[in-house]
Order: sequence, then C-alpha cells, then structure tokens
Amino acid sequence: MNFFESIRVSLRALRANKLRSALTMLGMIIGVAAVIAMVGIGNGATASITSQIQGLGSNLLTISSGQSNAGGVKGGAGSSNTLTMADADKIEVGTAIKAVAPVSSASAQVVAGSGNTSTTITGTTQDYQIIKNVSIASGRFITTADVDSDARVAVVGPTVVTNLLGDANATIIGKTIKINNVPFQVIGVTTATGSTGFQSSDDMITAPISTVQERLIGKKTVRSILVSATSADFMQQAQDQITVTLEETHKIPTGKPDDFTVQNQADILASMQGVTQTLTMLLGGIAGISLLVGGIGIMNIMLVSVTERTREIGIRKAIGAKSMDILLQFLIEAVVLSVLGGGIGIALGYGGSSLAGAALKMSTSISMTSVLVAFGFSAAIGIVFGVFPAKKAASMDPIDALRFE
Amino acid sequence: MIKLKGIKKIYSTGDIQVAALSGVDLHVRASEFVSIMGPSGSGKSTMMNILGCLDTPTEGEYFLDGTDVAKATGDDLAVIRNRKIGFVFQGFNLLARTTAIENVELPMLYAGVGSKERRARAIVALQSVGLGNRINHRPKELSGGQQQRVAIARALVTNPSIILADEPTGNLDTRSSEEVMAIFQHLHASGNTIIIVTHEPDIAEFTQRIVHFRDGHIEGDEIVEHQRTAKAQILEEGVAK
Ligand SMILES: Nc1ncnc2c1ncn2[C@@H]1O[C@H](COP(=O)(O)OP(=O)(O)OP(=O)(O)O)[C@@H](O)[C@H]1O
Ligand SMILES: [Mg+2]
Repeated sequence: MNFFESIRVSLRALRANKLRSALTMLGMIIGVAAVIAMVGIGNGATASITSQIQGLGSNLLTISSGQSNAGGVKGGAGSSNTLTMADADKIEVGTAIKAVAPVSSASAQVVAGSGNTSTTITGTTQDYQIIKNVSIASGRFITTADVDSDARVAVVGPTVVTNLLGDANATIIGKTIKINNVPFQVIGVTTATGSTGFQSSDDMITAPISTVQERLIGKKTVRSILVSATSADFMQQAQDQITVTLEETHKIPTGKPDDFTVQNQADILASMQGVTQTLTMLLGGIAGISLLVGGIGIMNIMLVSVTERTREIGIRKAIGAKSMDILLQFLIEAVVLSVLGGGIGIALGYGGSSLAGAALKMSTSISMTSVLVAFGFSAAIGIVFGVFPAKKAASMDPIDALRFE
Repeated sequence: MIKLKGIKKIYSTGDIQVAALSGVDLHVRASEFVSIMGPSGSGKSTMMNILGCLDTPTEGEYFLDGTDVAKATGDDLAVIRNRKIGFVFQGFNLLARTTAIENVELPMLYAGVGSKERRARAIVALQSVGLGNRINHRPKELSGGQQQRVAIARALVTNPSIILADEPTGNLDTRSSEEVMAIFQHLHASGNTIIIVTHEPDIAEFTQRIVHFRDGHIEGDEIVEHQRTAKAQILEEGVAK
C-alpha cells in the first residue's frame, strides 16, 4: 500500500470515529490554548509594567529626602525636607550625568473662564523635559529664563485642556488660567502619552519651580531631584557622584546615615520584574496543569479505545495488512490529530490572549517557546499513546488481536 | 492444494498445557467443498485459524499451494492471507462505522489495487451476495445474515485460492443460514475451494465432504451421499443485476 493510500485510510478512520477524534483534539486544544494564552498574558503584563517604568524617564535616578532603608522608627524617604535648590545646582552635568531637575509639586484648583479642575502642579526646570522625554504638541516648554525670572507661565497636559475647556483641541496657548487664584499664562501643551491614573503626565501642569515655590507652596522646599544618567552603563557612576556631592554639601560625616536617598530606576524595575515574573510563573503553572489535564484526556481516550482499536487491527491484519501498514495508519492518525488540535489550540490561545490583552488594555506577546513546548508536549502524548498500543497490537498474531479484551 | 502433516497446537496457561490439536493430517484438493464438524472444544476453530494463517501451529507442516506456510512469519503471512485466503468469521468481524463497500474494498486496498478497480470489484462482489442495493450501509444498519454476506463478499473479492468459514451460520436463523449456504454452493460451483466449520448436520449436508474432529484429532472423514441444494433466491436477484 502506498503512502497516499495510507493517508486516505487514516483520514477515513478518523472520520469514522468522529467522537474519539474530537475528544482527542479537545485535549490538545485545551492544553495548547491554555499555555499559549496564559504565557502570552504573563509576558504582556511584564512588558507593559517594564515599559511603564521605563516611561518614567530614561536612566532615571530620583533623589529624595530622608532614608529609604529606614527600618524601625526612622522616617521613610521624603519624610523630612532636606533637599534644596542649591543641592540641584551642585550636581554637575558631566560624563555620567546628562540632566538634573529639581521638582516641587502641589495640588491646586485651576480655573479658566467658566471651566475648572483640580490637578497637580509640578514646579521644575528646563531639564525636566529631557529627563521625562516630555514632548510638546504646541507652544514651548519652560526655560531657565522662566525659572530665573519667576515667570508665571504654565505648560498644560491635554487632559487639563479638556477638563477646562471641554475640548482637547481648543486653543489655550496665550490664555491666562488661575491656579489657586494666581494667574498663569499658558505657554505650551504637551502631547498626549495615553498614560492614565495616578500622576498621569497628561493630567498635569508644569511651571517654573521658583514660581511654584513662591506662589503656590510658600516655601523654598524641593521635594525631589530628578537626575538622568548619560546611559544605563553610567547609572552607578552617576549615583556615586550624587552621593559624594550631597554628603559634602550636607556635611554628613563618614559612617553616619545620609539624610537623602538615591533611587535607581533599575532597582524599581528589578523589583517590579520580580513581581511580574512570579505572575508569569503562576499563570504558567495554571497553564501547565491545563496541559497535563489535556494530556491525560488524550491518554484516556487513546487507552480506552485500545480494545476497539486492537480488534480493528486484528481485522485489518486478518485480511492482509502488514505491520507497516498498520503503524503508518496510526502514526498518520496521531499526527493529523496533533496538527489539527495543536493548530486550533494555537489559534485559540492566540485569540484568547489578544482578547485578554484588549480587555486589560495591554499588548500581549506570544512566546515561541510556549507554543513549541505546549504543542510538542500534547503532540508527543498523542503520538506515543496513539502509536504505542498500535505497535503492540500490530506485532500480535491476528487471532490474538481479534480475541483481545 | 492444502496438505497438513502432524499439526499440533499446544496452549500453555501457567503450568497446564492444553493440546488443542494433537497431530492432524488432512488433505484438501482444489475445488473441494468440505465441512468440519465436532463437539465443542474439539479444536475446529484452532484448526481453521491455522488454515487461515491467522495463527501458527506449535508443530507440524502446512503446505498451501505447495509452500510450507507453517514456517512463514509476520508480513509473509499477511501477504498469504491477503492473496490466497478468504476468511469468514462467525462474528463477522467487519469494521464498525465503515460502509459495506469500504469493508469489501479493504483487502484489495492492502493488495495495492487502484481505487477505481477496487470499487468496481467490490460492487460486483456485493451484488454476487445479493447486497447490490446495500453498499453504503454500515454493519449496524444490516441484519446478521446481511452482515455475514458482506463478510463473504470481502472474503471472495480477491479471488483467493481458498475460502475458509468458521461457523458462518452460527449466529443466523434457518432462512439466513440457507441463503449463506446457497452463496457458498454457488461459489463452489464456479470453482472455489471452500472449508466451513459447523455444528449443524443439516448445514454440513450442503457440502461434499465432512471431516469429524474429536479431542484435537480427526476421528472420521466421509463423503456426503445426498448433497442438499440450498434455495438460491437472493442469488438470482443479485446475479440478475
Ligand atoms: N487462546 C487459547 N488459550 C488456551 N487455550 C485455548 C485457546 N484457544 C483455544 N483453547 C483451547 O483449545 C481447545 C480447542 O478450542 P477451539 O476453539 O479450537 O474449539 P472448537 O472446536 O472451535 O469449539 P467450539 O465448537 O465451541 O467453537 C479448547 O479446549 C480450548 O479451551
Ligand atoms: Mg469454534
């Protein structure tokens, strides 16, 4: 019998046993789809958290007052205000440091004409634009001259424009808005970044730090200093430079704890990645169990049908099938089921993870490894448990196969 | 045609050894129509399975068309079963969920016959057993007698040297039994060699020669004096097509 005929025999056998074929495929589909979808969602979550953290600014170091490794009674970072404008000036831009921007912020009521909203006012300097990759949709960002002259100018986010004027595209540049009753002139609008929730860059007003301190906070305090390292490789050097400079300015004797903290973006990233990795592993674990359950399903169907199949093999052998004919038929059956079931599983897993991604507003990414592992595992089970009993039956005397119980 | 010399079949279950056949010598010439009779457990099925190359003897020689098939193994036996033997089982042994015509095509499939010829020959074979109008029925949609006729069509479709049938009428009522025997008589008349096993003396009287088995050996061998002729109504319907 030629190969082509073998394929036809296998397909006919699969069609003759629709329920068994469908159940075997179901096992494969569930296993494969679960693994692909779960790992896809896990990867997507990791990627989205990573990009959110990276979106905070590139190679960002954040200096805050107080200590971070505060155990017991000591206050946490930012618990006391020890940072000043002078500190920011002392940190010099050089090989390791690209930009430095002190930040003071306040929540305030903003009024423009009949519209009003409540938002965050971030007082900072020109370098903030570099550090945070702020992109300007129209107008300009604040400059050093604005800071030096305590200019009452403001750069607003698109959400603020919408909240105040009811339309994100309304002209606001040149208009005057009142922040806590202090008039500011709008000089620029930032590009929408799509970020939402707490401290969204779209729902924010940026103004010269000097003006914010004087008019809105009333104190010359600096909440934090943002520093951008020249590249990821210079993060450590930048951090060291900051520590040395500030210890000197703050006159902290060696061995005493610092009254400031330098937080590395990589540290945040690492700890968040730890969390997302756990998440991925958890999802992967659930998927693994589904795969196992699917595999057991396949195994069950295959083993339950051994009696019937052994008789079928007995009949085929009794009328002249050679062992090779039998093996080929069962191998092709198993391969066809695996490819079909696996294919549908991959498609469903892909669809499921895209759907979940859309629902959770994140982009999911399918890992090739998960596809291969899931597919390989179910296919292996399908083929082993499909072909192995067949191999045994094919080597029996036909009369024993016919009598098999 | 068929020559058995000292065929023994010994089953060992644990320590106990059962000799299902204890030295059988038999000679069947071409175009003979033989029935095998004997009490239950006397070794008739064991003998038929060996004749049909479904099982191998523990000892002895079996010449089929001059070749000693007792020494053949595995795929060689598969080829012999395919080319030379048509086997009809008591329990039909049709593939369930597979149509009558596909069942009949099966042996030709393994013989490497092309699909068009396969189909044509299967239809002819089914017509010759009076099932020309049932070719697309599945076994469970057919009566016992009809299933047995499909099995006979499957056995004769490859033009084997010999047709073997182990209690072909064992599960059938008198009418169906007679129909099946009519088909065998018809096949015999057209030159086929046929051996059947039966419990019923009436059925054996449709054949030419009766071999009596007892306790694994041949006890008697007689020629049927007054051979009966089975009514062949269905055949006439079938062949008329
Ligand atoms: N697979 C086997 N294992 C062990 N013993 C067996 C096996 N097959 C048959 N036997 C024994 O061989 C002997 C002959 O059995 P066989 O089936 O040939 O009898 P039979 O003449 O066909 O009987 P019946 O008329 O009931 O069909 C019996 O004693 C039976 O128990
Ligand atoms: Mg028997």
